[in-house]
Amino acid sequence: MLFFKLLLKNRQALIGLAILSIFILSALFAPLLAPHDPKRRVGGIHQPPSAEHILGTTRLGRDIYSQVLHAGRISIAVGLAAGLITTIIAVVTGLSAGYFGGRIDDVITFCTNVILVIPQLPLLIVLAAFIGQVSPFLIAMIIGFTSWAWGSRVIRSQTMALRQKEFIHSAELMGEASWRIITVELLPNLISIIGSGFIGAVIYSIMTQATLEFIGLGDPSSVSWGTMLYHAQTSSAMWVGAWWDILVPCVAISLFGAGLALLNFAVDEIANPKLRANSAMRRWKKMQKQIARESQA
Amino acid sequence: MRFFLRRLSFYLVALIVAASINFFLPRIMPGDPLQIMFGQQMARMTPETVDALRATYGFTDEPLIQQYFQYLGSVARWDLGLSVREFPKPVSEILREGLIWTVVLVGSSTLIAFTLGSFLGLLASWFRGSWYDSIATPLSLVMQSIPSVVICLTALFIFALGLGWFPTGYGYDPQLDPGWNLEFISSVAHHAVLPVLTLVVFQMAAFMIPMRANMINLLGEDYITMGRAKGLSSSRVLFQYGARNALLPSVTTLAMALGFVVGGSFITEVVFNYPGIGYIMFQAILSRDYPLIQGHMLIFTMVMLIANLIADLLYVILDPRVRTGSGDA
Amino acid sequence: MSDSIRLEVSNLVKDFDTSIGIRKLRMRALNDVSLYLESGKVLAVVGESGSGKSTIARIIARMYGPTQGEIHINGQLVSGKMKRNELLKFRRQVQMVFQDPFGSLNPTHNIYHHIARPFIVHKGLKGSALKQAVIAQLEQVGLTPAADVAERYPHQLSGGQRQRVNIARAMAAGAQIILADEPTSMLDVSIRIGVLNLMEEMRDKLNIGFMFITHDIATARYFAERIAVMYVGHMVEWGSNEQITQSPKHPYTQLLISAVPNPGQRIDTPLEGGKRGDIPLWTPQKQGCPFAGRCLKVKPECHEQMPEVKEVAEQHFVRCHLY
Ligand SMILES: Nc1ncnc2c1ncn2[C@@H]1O[C@H](COP(=O)(O)OP(=O)(O)OP(=O)(O)O)[C@@H](O)[C@H]1O
Ligand SMILES: [Mg+2]
Repeated sequence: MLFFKLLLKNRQALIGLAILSIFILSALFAPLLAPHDPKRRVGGIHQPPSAEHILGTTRLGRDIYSQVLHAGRISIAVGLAAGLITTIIAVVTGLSAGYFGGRIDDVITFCTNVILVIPQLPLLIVLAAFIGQVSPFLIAMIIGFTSWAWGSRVIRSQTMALRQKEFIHSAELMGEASWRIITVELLPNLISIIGSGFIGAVIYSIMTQATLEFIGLGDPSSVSWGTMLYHAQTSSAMWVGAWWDILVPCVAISLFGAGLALLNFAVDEIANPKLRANSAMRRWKKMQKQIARESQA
Repeated sequence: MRFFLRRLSFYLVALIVAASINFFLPRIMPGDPLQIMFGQQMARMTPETVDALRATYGFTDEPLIQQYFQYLGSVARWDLGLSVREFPKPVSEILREGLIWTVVLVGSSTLIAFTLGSFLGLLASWFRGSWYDSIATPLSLVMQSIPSVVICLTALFIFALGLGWFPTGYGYDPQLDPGWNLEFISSVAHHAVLPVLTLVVFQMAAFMIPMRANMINLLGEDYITMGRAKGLSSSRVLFQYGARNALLPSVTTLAMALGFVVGGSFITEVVFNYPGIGYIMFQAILSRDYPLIQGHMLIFTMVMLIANLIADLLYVILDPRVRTGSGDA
Repeated sequence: MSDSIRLEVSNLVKDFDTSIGIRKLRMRALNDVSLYLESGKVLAVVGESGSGKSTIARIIARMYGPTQGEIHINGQLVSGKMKRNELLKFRRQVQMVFQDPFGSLNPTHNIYHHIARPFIVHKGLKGSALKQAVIAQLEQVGLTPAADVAERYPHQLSGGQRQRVNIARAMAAGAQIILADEPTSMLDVSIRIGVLNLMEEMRDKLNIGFMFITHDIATARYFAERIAVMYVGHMVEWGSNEQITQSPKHPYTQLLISAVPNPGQRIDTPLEGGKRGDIPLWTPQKQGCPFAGRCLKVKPECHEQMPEVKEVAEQHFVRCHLY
């Protein structure tokens, strides 16, 4: 609870939370807020922003404002789903490897290392290319199942450090079962690291989804920030001067990513006391002043 | 030495895993795998070409395990099959032509990002809590969470289309003939500015943030305080003592970061029509040139493995504990 | 709870695989250690740092297995493979209290959780019975007001209070034997005595037996019926409190005792009077007496042969070629 109090006092966290809530709310209420059907022709070709279409129209005469609201639903949903899958796999594998050690650890660590050296994007592209035009749901799945290795490694090393703590030994000596030690004794100590890993995974998933869709591996009939970019690019929006067509999805993705990043920064800062009110740093600064004073004298 | 043998065998296994993904993907799709991979080109092939391709990919009537080793053998010989789009050009040849552009692009931008990012991280740790730190640090994190598509499109729009400072695409002026003359080289450099800069922006935070965190930890440690107490100047302590130790983790993440750079360079090449292997890959995706897509993943896996090997080497050189083999004694 | 129990450790050997630099090495942390613990009695184990005291406790508590040797409780084997219900019964009988009062409580759970878990696992208590039991247990170890303490988190307690929580947990599990690994060494001198008195009270009122590991022979003398002296993985002398403190036989014990009048002295500070020999790293191949390098009365055979155990007085044993 102290954690949330600190979070609400943190300026960066507040800005981040504000951005995120605006996006999530507008995505939730997109059908109410959007003036037009995002998939219907409702205006002229590449109309600049006007009173009628406040963010302009696309090459196909669709209302960009309505599109960006609806696209938020899909992009955010894919980001959250992929982030969730990533985090769950990372937590399960990292915790088991760190807690049980031995054979289990060897196998899991080997798998994570292999995944880490195989470059992500080319792998995703190969997978997506063979599947064909990948629906948002499938995008979430393939991102989720290929990007857990880094988080798993971090959680494993944290678990190994915690495992040496005497409170874990004494829970074992108390006769607690392994699953209880993992879930009740270990997991709560990892919450902040899992939380910031989750936020990072969501950022990564949204970026990756946009990338895959931009290069034409997504399902072009779905409306997401990535497919908006794809359509804008294939209709040469930038070359014909229809900057709004490109700008709107760009701003949407960047703002949402920035909100997540700010929140994550604050969480790290609060959870990692070394980066917080750094006592060593203060000692150091004090000494510097003292030396300065002495050298003046 | 044992250490390197262990790493080498691990990298070999990783490469085999990547090849296996390539091997199994077309096979788990419904239909004749060769038909899936070559589609439209099949009709134009002579029976001999079809047989040769079957041999390369192991699409034979033999048992799966034998097909598998046949394919691994092809990969080992660096025979990646034929491209569909530029039939019958071999995949390895097409990739070789693009690789030099990508290596230069990724290499130079990583070097710049590493130097600049480490330096800015150092400053942020030194002036921790100042206005510089409280703006630069969150800003770089925010930059890191903006997809490279957005960065590239913005840069293209502003500096190439808007201001017209730089060309909008390609690796050099197509009216020039490639050669070692000043005109051609300056054209290459001019075309490379925007792609390199966007990649630098994309990567910088990855070096700045860890550097800042490591430095903050290190600044609290005794030998820094000692060095300062001995009367060494601030900058000397900062660079000589602190930076070297804080860089060590950065070097190892350099190889890890490469995986992300690969993703970034891919998009950069697509947006700027830069003739590296990312752009080739993009063309391959558009025409569903599966052999080329697969070859691309293999070659990038190789690049990653080599980078990791170099990082292993660097680590041994930079960390005296590993070098003398004295362990923690 | 008051039926007597006797835990017997026989011929314990423990080897660890370690490495010095890149060289692999098998070291012998315990060599042929035998001892027993019983209800209502305290055995103090003293010895300098690295002599293997904690290793004995950890093996008894089954944190890891012995290389050789067996442990029995009332004649029943309790080292080696055990079924889940046998293991739980063993956990009810033997509990451990760790040295570090800061590390041994989970920072994410309150005190109630720590005391309630053993009641739930071992006694199946629930609801209001559980609550009452927790409150009563906290009161018994002097943590009052109990209802208030139960709500607190570990970082809101002092070191002494935390160590009381640890003792309360062991008691909540129903422990008849508690392995206390330097339970007071990280506490302020002023609160040590309170925790010691608590353990003493539990011994007398609840008939709990202790293995009390300590650096500090003065504490051992104050609290223990019997004392065992460890040196580099070997038990070199053991007997009653008076025998060890009044008439020590082994040259190492004599050194320890002569250093005691200085109250603040820790055993691991360099001892005066002994030769400044190296403390050896013991390996399975080593022969002779581990103390030979530092001993003032060393004889040629001390370097060649491990001395046999000799009974120099009733229930007073020593491992030394002088006797
Ligand atoms: N898990 C382990 N792996 C390798 N060596 C170990 C392990 N545990 C203990 N040792 C070694 O065994 C020897 C005895 O250690 P132990 O912890 O039992 O000493 P101790 O008498 O409790 O010391 P202290 O008073 O410092 O707690 C030491 O040399 C130690 O390095
Ligand atoms: Mg110990």
